[in-house]
Amino acid sequence: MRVTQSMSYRSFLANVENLNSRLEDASQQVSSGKKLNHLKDSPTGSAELVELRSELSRIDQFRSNSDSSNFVLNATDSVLTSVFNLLTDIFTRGSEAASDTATQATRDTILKEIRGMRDQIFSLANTKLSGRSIFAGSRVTAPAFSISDNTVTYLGDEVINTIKISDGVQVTQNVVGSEAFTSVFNTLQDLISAIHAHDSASIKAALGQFSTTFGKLSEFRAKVGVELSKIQSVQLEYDGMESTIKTRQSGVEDANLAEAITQMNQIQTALQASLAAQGAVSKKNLFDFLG
Amino acid sequence: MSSLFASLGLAQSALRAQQFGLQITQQNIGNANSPGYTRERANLFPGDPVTIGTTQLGTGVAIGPVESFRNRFLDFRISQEMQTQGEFGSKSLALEQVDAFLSASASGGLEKALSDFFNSFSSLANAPEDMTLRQQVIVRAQELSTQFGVIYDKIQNLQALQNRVIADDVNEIDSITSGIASLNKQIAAAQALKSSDEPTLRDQRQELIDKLSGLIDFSYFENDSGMITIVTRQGSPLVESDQSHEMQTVASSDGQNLRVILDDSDITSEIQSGEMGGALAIRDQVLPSYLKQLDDMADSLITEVNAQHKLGSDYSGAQGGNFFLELGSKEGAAKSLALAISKPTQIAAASLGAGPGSNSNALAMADLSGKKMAALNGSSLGDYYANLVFTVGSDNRSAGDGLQTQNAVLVQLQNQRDSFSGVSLDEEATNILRYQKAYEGAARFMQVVSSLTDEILQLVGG
Repeated sequence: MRVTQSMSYRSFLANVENLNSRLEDASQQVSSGKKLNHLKDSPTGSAELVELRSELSRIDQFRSNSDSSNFVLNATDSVLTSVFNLLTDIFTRGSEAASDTATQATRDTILKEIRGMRDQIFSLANTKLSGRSIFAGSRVTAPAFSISDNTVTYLGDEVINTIKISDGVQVTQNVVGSEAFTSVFNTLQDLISAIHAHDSASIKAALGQFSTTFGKLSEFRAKVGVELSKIQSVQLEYDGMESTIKTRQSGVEDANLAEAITQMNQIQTALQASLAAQGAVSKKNLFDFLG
Repeated sequence: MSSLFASLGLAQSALRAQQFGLQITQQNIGNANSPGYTRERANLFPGDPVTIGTTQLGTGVAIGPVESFRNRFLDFRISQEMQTQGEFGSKSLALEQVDAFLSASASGGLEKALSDFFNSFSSLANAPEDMTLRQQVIVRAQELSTQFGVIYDKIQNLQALQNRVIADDVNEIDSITSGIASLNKQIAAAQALKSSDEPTLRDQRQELIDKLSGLIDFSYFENDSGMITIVTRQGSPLVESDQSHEMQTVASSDGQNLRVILDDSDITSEIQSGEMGGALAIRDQVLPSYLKQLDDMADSLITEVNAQHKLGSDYSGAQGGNFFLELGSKEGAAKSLALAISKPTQIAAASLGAGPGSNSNALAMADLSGKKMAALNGSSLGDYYANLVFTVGSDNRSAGDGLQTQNAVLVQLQNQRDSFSGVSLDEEATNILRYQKAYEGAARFMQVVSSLTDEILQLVGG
């Protein structure tokens, strides 16, 4: 086959161009640390990365949701505990007032204390977090309860909010005030009226309601406890979930640096060899040897 | 018996012939690097012998027509492959840009805006009455509209750019075809006269054909008079004998794109290869398909978000209205995407009829991110976007791979052509030696004849 100069130049240039292009790709991998620098480097990989990044963003949101819920539920729990403790004190004082030996003066003092503690419970039932009444259902912009004479009226509704903290895992974020505290306020109202009337029998009757009231309150404390431990155990999983995704992400997009550098060096060597070869080959033609 | 003068004549013809050979060799060497030059060869052959009595005498060496080494089959094949190369070239150029838009947006852009938008509803669900969180939803929704618009604009600008390519190509094609037509005329004349200009003219014409091949798809053939007819894929003539047909561009009825006109008919759809064919495919098929996918996403977003929004109550307890503006058509939805609500209180986060602290509708809005939507072939918005990313990457890869393949094919074919038609300096150096030696031989012979003649003259003249 005839070989002309133009042929060898063309082949040489095509080869060098090819090597240079591969060199550019290889050095881009080394400097960016990624093997996917364009969508075309791996269309499937690129699409997968979109999904993976979306997953990571969801996990971030879950973290945020669980932190929020944790905050609200802990506050709720602490309110319920305080109410429980106050009720315990009220029960003790009430029992003293129920005694047949209690005097008018004693009962009056006790009544004053109990009213005071009832007011504290009322205040707790109207707890606001960042301006939001946490026991008012969805009517969070107004107090949950109002009071007139000794009658406490619930102003909220029965709406319960849940939120997702992981795929398929929801937590309840609020306790409805009417459910948790109706029994409390009714019982307290009965007790206060009874002590006010200095009626030993009705005081005892009112005190009798306390066990049901304590029971209901405990129910809610337990429910909140369940949600809080749900949050705790799910929170332990976030790091693991993220790590799995990040590992996969790295597998798809990160360059194996050692491999990439080796490849880059190989191409550089090939390029140099090609240039040197062409330099040696094109030195002589017949004209150089004729006289 | 021949005379000495006849011998002189023989020697003279030899000198002339070898000199001619050297001339051709010099031409080859000088044009070793001229693009499109096909090497020539001097055809020397023995002159017709003369019969005198019973003896045949040679009449020296005659110079035949110069032979030009052209392989028409290779020329045609190279033209075909260059058309495909041009097509992949312009496609690859455009698709690299779309690839870059979407790659860059991995750290921002539409993907993040979509994600952030739905997450803002999830954050809102923690405290739906909070004005700051509500405002955040509005901000994220606006960012989403912006990002849809950004990428839509980029793709539309790329479309508009193709029009520039097409307009430039049409101008270049017109100048080339008129050049070919003019060369046709000259070649037909040279062929008829067996002029020595013919190989050079043919070289020039083939150069123009190669240039044309990069730009548009066509077929060509040569008739007996040496003129080449060039026709498009559908048979519309670009060059007929010594006439070229002018191509023009005209704005389309919607004013957006250029149509290609040849002899008063719209041949835009006939052009499928070459740089222009690639640009047309990008402008009229590939980019519109991407725009459509963006529009489908925006349209589904609007439909689903609005439907869900109406199932809830806003801050004042009123039923939610449209969250996004309802648009008349799907086309351009991504560009016209805009909020219908302006105030944070208008966001319907609560369930219908509930107070401002209820979050069930905000939860439902957040869940739309994973909802499989019928209008998106059962994909969620995120999946659909991932699919667009895949499509763009895959289209770009095909174009790039195609271009690489064509480049390699053309290197091979052009080398083949050069092997046949190209100048080899070694070969030409050898030719110089040959002709030089033959010239020297003839010159020496002439010297001998000359001295013999002198002797005879001396004998005769004294």
